[in-house]
Amino acid sequence: MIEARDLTKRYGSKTAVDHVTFTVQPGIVTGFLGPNGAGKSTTMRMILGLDKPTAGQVTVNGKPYAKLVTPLSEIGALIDAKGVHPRRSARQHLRAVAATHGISDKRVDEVLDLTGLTEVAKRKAGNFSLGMGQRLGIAGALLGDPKIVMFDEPVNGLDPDGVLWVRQLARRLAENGRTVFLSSHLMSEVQQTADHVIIIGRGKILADAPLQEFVRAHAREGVLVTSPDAGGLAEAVKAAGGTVQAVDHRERISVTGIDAREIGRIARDNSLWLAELRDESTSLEDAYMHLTAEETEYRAGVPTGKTDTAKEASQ
Amino acid sequence: MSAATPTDTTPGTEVVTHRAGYARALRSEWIKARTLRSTWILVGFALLAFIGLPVLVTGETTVTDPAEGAVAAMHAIFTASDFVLILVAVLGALLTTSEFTTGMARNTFTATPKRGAVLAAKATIASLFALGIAVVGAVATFFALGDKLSGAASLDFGNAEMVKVLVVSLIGYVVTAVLAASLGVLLRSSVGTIFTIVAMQLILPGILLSVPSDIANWVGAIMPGVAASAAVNTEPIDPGTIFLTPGAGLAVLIAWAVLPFLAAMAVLKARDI
Repeated sequence: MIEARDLTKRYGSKTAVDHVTFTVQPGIVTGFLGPNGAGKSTTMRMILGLDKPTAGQVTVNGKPYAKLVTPLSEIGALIDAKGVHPRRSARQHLRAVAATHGISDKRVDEVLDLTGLTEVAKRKAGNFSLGMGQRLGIAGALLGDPKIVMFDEPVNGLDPDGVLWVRQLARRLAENGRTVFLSSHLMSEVQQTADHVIIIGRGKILADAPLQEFVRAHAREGVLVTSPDAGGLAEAVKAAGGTVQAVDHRERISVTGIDAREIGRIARDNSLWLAELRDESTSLEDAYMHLTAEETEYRAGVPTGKTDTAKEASQ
Repeated sequence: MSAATPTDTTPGTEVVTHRAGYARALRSEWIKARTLRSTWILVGFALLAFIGLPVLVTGETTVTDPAEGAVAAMHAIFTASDFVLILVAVLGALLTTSEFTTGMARNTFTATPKRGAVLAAKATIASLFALGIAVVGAVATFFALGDKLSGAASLDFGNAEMVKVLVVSLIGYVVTAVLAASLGVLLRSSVGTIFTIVAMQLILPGILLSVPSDIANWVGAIMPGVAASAAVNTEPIDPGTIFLTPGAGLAVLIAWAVLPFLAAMAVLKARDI
């Protein structure tokens, strides 16, 4: 379990992480989302004790990182795939990390095998592709068989096989009761892996909720309908109380207020040709975009309002 | 010590881990140092210079007093130190600077959150390499010089002055290694650290000691190399010449390791990685 309370990091006048409070629970995969520069990596560095918080605190399994006796058995982290000496072989890199905890060479070979790096273990890490570097970082994170795994952008640079492998690994680790914390800016990836999402923007937590709940609360509901009879279908849907919006394509409409099942029935009753019916209300990307759009609107709205400016001036 | 049961990431056996402190950081640093080819290239060049230079420049001895001869012989063995120490400094500096320049520091300090333990381990490794180069180099040079160190110019371990030259030289190697590793933490730059050491070792003393300014002379006199010569000086010091006494020289030499090491420790603990 990772617990952050009022965690804050300022660099000069810039606030990278702003009074952030959250808990990452064991047994599930928690996705940590936000645009680049939102404060994801800074938060992760503070969890690992690499950066000192300006204010607030964060604990790993109940202790500040610096107080952990065997940190690699508590939390395994991949925070920078390039953070390896380029002229040292992958195996020797892992042996050096393992030596800090007296972890055996046998375990080093196990994680190499687990990450599919056995054949390239003697090659210098500097010659690795980005994807191989990510695998090496994950191998290092798994060395101590940790209770928590924390990966920063783990699928960056991975081929489709690698992406699937990371997804399955994360699921398996969570199913075994471990805490899994993954950051990403790829919404579709998180949607397929995470049970819970924490969303950060400009250093602040914008949302912290189970994935399904978050999507339901923020996604623009809608059903995308493709039909050669789009015009007729639109009329029928409107008559049934739905709202219709035209989409880029003339055979396509977007319907809100009526679910996909009902639209199908309307089409059948009116003998209209239905080519495609797609429920769009379950996309994390949509929900995320909607949430961040609200945020931007809110921020943009404040300084332009005359009354607000006057109020600010009088304070 | 904690043990985990066989699970998803442990096909077969449990993973046993032990407290991450100085002793294991030392093992880790030893693996890191010896698995880089650059380490052994530097050691090779250091030994080559250590042995090669005295062989080239040492002539037949002209001294007749065995006491003087033994001291001169020991000095002859360490003839190449000015150059070798630069290579020792490069080795020591790379142990710390490479962590920051490659990003390895993030792995290092997550594995061992006790930053002081990591720095102490690095300083130990740097010192062991420095001592290794000095001892292997000195013994090899002794044999390489062969007949040139015979008769009045023989080594004599009963000669206190000669032993002092040996001990101070070895201290100088350790000091240089620790100084370089510490500066590497303070500057986090290989070029900056190596340049600083070269300046202190080779460039500044000559300039500072020759300009007509007491302050500059004093600064020159406390440079590590100059302090080391003061520590083994047996000649009377001219009144008016700024030069440390042997005791002060030794103290200043050791301070060049202790103070930067403490500064590096404080900075490493305070700064973000």
